[in-house]
Amino acid sequence: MRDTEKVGHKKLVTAAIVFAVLFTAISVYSYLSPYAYFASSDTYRDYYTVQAYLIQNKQIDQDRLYSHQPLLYYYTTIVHRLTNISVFDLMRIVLPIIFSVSLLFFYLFYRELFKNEFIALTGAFMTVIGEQFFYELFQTRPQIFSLVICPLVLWAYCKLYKQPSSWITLSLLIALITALSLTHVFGVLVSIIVLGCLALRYLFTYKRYWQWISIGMLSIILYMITLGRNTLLASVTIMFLTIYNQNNTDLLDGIGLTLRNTLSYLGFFFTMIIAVGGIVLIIDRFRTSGRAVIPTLLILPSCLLFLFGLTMTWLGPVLGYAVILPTRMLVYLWIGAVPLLLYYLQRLPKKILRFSIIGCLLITTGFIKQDADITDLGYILGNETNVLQYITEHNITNSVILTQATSYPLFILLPSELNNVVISNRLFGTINAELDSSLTQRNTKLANEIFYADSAETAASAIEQLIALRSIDPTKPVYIAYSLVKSYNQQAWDSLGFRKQSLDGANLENFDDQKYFRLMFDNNDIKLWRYVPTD
Amino acid sequence: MSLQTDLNSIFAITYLTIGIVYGLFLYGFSWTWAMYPQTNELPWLDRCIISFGISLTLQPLIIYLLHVTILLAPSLEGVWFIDLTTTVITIIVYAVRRQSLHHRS
Repeated sequence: MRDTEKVGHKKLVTAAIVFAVLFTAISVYSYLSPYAYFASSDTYRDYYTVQAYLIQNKQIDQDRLYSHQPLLYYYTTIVHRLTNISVFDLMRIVLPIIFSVSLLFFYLFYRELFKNEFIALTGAFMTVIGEQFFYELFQTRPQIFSLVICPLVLWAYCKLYKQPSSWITLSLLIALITALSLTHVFGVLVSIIVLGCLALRYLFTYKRYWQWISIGMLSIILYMITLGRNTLLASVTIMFLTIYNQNNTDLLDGIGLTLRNTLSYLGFFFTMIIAVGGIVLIIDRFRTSGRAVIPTLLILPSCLLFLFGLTMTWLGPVLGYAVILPTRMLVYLWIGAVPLLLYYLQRLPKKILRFSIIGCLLITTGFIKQDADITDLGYILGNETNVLQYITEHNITNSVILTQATSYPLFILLPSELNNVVISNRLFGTINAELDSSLTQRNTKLANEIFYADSAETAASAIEQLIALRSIDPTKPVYIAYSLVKSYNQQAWDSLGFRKQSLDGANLENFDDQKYFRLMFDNNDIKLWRYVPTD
Repeated sequence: MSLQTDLNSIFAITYLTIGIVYGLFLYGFSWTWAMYPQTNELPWLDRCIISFGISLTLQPLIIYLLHVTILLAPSLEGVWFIDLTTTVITIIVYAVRRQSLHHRS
């Protein structure tokens, strides 16, 4: 036994070293590039929130900070305070490395579940190199935090299953669940699944009624509190309780009881009941025939996670209703699928098992190919960074740059003051007012101020208004930047699924007037004009 | 303030090292001893992994809850104060639990 453990530990250490080197190399690669940036557009918003509110103590809209997903913000602040590493470096390099250690949490969870070092180690690798997980790992945003806590919660659940009277483990699990529910809406879903399974454990197998009642109550309270303050969870609830018509923009007003929707609603619930019941029955059958190694309730959270994931990501959209951003659930689908996969794989003879596991690893690694170019997943696309080189070389970093909301993250990388970059979608002649409005709302916190040039007739007069409104030093040169590649690389959701859709349009004739505008830079990906005041 | 600038002084390197070791590991390590004072309850490897996990989870949770309830801001002093206080409390809990386990055995 001890020898097996030693071999297992050696494998773990070797694997962890390879993993750490790989991830550090990727992170350092982006750090060494001349233009450092985040791998996700969301991180810019989170960076702003941490920097402005928690570090500089500025008054900003605290809704998101307090009621939505505060844990990442606080963790970043803590590590910044304790180590003095800048928030930018933390969010870009340090946190992805820290989060990649979640490999160990998965190892711990699978080992508690399967009691097998090899299976546990394989499972941990399989989870972490899953396409969606790999994709999330490099993007410092609140949902990654929930992915890191998720295996810990499942580990504590397994531990508590085996020692149901341990109040210490129960307290730890509740603390972890509280933390998980503060990370992301799907974290709340995982919490409720785990609490539900725990309540079943206390009710049926352990016969501890007071614990069952308290855990049941806790899950309901947790759900109601989160529901009251989180619109995304409300949309999930709407999906489960009634029909959510994706074509309507308002979540609550968008409920439409058509025949198709009603049928799909009923079908959804029946499918869930049959699927969950079926899996439980199958597992029970294995258990009673003496072949099962894991009790039903121990694997049940993974089954439920897998089924909820399947429903939200695929079944909902196919039937015509879905929660917003359903791909966020893909990673939980994967977390639920891996234990199930391992559960069935370990029944195979040893040789076939090893081949199967190698095959599974190769397949999951193959998925990474799609996401290999990590930087393209962020906000910097094509040859956009060339304009930064131009700006730096021509020593115009102290100028004012007017650009669209989607191009803002590109210019934040410049070694100039943040308020030198001004967002003005209207200046470019937005083609879709509704989209522009949502973008404006989303970026209000990011840009701190949005300029509307409603009364301006020309781009030149709009710029003059902007200079006056923002109290910009009129002696500073003004540049206008427009990214052509950005417009067609945003993923947007419609009732049929994902497709490419332009978020920012532009009427580039606005800048044709050579009296006011001079094209300084154009590489077919990004254009830069200089504004020339007439007087 | 960039990483490279911070590393210029010995003090900064010491602060960075202490911060990383304490914030990412020792904080959770004290919690694991308070919760599972006996080695057979939680093996060493598991203890180390869980220590990291608890540092990652409970630290921001406690600071967040204190910030929204008693408005204790996560300033430099605030973070160190809360962290050190909780560590001291966990050490006391560990000592008490260890003592009671000793008496019981």
